[in-house]
Amino acid sequence: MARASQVAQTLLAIIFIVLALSQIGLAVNGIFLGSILALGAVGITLVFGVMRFANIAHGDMMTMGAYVTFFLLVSVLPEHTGLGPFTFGFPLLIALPVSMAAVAALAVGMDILVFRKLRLRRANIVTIEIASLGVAIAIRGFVQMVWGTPVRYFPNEGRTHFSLPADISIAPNHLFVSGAALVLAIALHLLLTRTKQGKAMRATSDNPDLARASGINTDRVLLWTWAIAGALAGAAGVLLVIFNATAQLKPTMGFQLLVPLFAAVVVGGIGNPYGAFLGAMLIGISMEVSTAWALPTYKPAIAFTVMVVVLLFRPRGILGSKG
Amino acid sequence: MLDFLTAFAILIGIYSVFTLGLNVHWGYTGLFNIGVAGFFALGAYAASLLTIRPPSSDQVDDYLYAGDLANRLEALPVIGALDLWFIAGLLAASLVSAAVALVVGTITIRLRGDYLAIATLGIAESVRLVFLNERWLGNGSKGLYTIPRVFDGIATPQDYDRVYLVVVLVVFLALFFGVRALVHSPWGRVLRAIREDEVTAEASGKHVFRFKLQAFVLGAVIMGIGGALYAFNLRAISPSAFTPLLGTFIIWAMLVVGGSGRLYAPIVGAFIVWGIWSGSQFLPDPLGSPNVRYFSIGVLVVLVLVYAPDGITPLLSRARERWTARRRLRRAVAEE
Amino acid sequence: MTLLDVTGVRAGYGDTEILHGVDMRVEAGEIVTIIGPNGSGKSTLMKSVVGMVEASAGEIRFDGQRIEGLRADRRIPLGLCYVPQTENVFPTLTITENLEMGGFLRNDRLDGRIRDMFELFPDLAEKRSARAGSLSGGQRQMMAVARALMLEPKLLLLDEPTAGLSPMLMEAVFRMVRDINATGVAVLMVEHNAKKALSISHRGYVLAVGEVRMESTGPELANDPSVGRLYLGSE
Ligand SMILES: Nc1ncnc2c1ncn2[C@@H]1O[C@H](COP(=O)(O)OP(=O)(O)OP(=O)(O)O)[C@@H](O)[C@H]1O
Ligand SMILES: [Mg+2]
Repeated sequence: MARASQVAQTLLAIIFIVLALSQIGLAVNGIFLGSILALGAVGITLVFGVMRFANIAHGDMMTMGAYVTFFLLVSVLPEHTGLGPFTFGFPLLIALPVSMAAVAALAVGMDILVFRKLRLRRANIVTIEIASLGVAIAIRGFVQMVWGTPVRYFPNEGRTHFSLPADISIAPNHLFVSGAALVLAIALHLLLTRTKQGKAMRATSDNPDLARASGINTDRVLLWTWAIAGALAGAAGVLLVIFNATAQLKPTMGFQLLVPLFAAVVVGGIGNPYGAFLGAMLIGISMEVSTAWALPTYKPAIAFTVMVVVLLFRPRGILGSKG
Repeated sequence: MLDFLTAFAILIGIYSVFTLGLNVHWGYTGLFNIGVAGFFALGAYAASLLTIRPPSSDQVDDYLYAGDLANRLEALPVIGALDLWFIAGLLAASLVSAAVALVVGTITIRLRGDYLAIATLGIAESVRLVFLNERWLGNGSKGLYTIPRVFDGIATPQDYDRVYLVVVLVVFLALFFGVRALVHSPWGRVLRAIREDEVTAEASGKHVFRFKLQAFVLGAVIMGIGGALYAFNLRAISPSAFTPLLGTFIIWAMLVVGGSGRLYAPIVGAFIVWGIWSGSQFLPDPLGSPNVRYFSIGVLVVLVLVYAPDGITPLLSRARERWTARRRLRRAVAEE
Repeated sequence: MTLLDVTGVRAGYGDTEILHGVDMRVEAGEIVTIIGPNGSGKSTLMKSVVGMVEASAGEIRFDGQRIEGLRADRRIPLGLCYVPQTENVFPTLTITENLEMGGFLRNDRLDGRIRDMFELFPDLAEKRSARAGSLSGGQRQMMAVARALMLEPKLLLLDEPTAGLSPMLMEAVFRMVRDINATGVAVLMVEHNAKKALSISHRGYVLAVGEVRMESTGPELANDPSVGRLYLGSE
């Protein structure tokens, strides 16, 4: 039985690799999409690690990040597009960190106003999860009240793609997206493995009681975790807009990504940030490669299917260890 | 005004059905389903596709839907007042929802709660995408709009709403009393035991997985029937009605506001939330915009969860108790 | 001087009360052992001392200061450290990182203290970059104790430190407890190897159904036949 399952897993891995290689252009796109998913999924998984609940508002936190940047680009910062080979201008480089900070603050505020109250009451995990669904809808309602429902665009100008052999063409923006994601991922890795606060986050995620018994203020760790998850979500939202050829943003953009994000978290092993990264790549590549045969609108369904298949063989995900 | 109230009452009835189904999932069993919209859509499409009529000549010609049921349907007479097609529609909705719930539940119920949530969300989105993209199946984004009136024989089109209100109420009450009986049966007690403490329930020899799966399928069937009722009300459905917001969240809001796990929560919750939702459109402009509604329903849910975790229903019954107590006191004083 | 003074403590989980008014104390420099049958509330007593279970009544004083109202992470800095019975390491952190977390409250550089721990537990030094989850039972217990010692506590609480260990390792653990105690650290431990533990203890308590049933010096309890008969089954 265990043998058969292993053979099946190996077969699936081979099929995945063959399909990805056969559509190498799409697979490369999948890596870019995967790097955005990774930023969101890592945040979801970090919050899950310390709070044991899957934050449904995460997609809408991404949306918020995108709209904060939109606001800054249109109303605050000087107008400029076409920085180097990119469609956007230098103001985006200012707006990006500001949006990250704004969403981090939003996340911390959410915890203080909503989740901490529920925690103190020892509310059921699912109650907390439903509250996060309520927060998600409230954020979206807020975005729609302030910026309206129609599609908006970052100021941008058209750019040519870089052409590579083997039919690969890469939009310069995509390189920026994955570059930024990589920088953030490395920063997060260093934070988690080199700093005291980061190690305390991992310790709290491993065993919150023992963390408290070591003198770690787990409430403060929680706020840090929310801040980091929020900052990453804010970045993911902005990058998601740039990833799009026409730089469009709409109020549902984050929520619509929730299924792929959760799929990435689950596939990688819920609670494990490295797993979330791996899962995001797997899901991103699967989603893009599938467009060779399926309609692009089916991408979320593909993400979901990949998740179910992985769960069938590995109920705790690829790198999952915790129950 | 009367027409508006009738339409309002019909929708409350329909949403009460969905909320009843969700109460079976979450309120009584603790199954975290955030894909209500999926079963909602499956029920609505199943019932519609089974009973659909061919479009009339003045309607657009590229109207596609699965099979050729409508033309074959013409050959079958509607049997008097007992509209068998309506019954068949409800049955189809139940069967399709049950089948999907059985498959999803078998795979995910064994895993921890969050996975079921993610799985149901994924299913709901996938169902919506299928009906959106597969035009041959349900006319794509334009949706189906030749769904017949039920009990056509006994009501004039002008009276349809009033007749249909009765139909919805009858279906709702049947489901409501069915669920009530089940909740009070030994089966329902096991469910509550599972909800409270799965480990102990398992230890006392209950086959937890099987009970949970049964409850999941039952709730899904009720949601599917709700979808069918929804379809026969508007007699036009399209994928845009089954978004996570309109198809799932508002129903969760109703359950939370009503008080999950309470028998009357579905009605109370549906009444309050739908009242706010549809009543707010009469407010002056900035307040009446749908965006403000999203925001305020979201905030309402969070506030109820934080400050009145048992929902509004217990507050109501406490208020009633206090009122009757005061009346009794007054009467006692008067007698003296 | 009395380091830990527990008087009339009641505590439990949810609505079930497990401890029905417990009195107990640990003097500075002592080794004190608590024995008692399974489920008698020994771990619950430990948890209420460190603040992982809230005491619903009674007083807990540490070093003269009332602590029963403090959150767990506020009690640790006062000088008490705790090794839980189960789940007593951070499994995905490395050995070194586990020790760093043990010393979380220290503001100085931890290198020196970590080196001390590696000297005390040479097995751990070899595996310093391995994940704690990969350790064997005995190593994990060492790891857990080392983690708790990082802060140089005045009182070390050990909940069944020898559970699941081979006789040889058991000896090693008891020797370690004595060594630690020799450096001036008071030790409060819960043990199922009652004879062995009591024989190295200054004093001991017998806990049953959430109440202290007997209290005496370690050797005396160890040799009292009624203790074995009444509370420890066949031992
Ligand atoms: N987290 C918990 N929630 C609810 N009840 C608990 C919890 N932990 C322990 N109990 C119950 O409290 C009682 C005392 O448990 P405790 O762990 O203190 O016993 P113990 O004396 O340490 O036993 P052992 O020798 O088995 O470790 C037991 O009946 C146990 O079932
Ligand atoms: Mg114990």
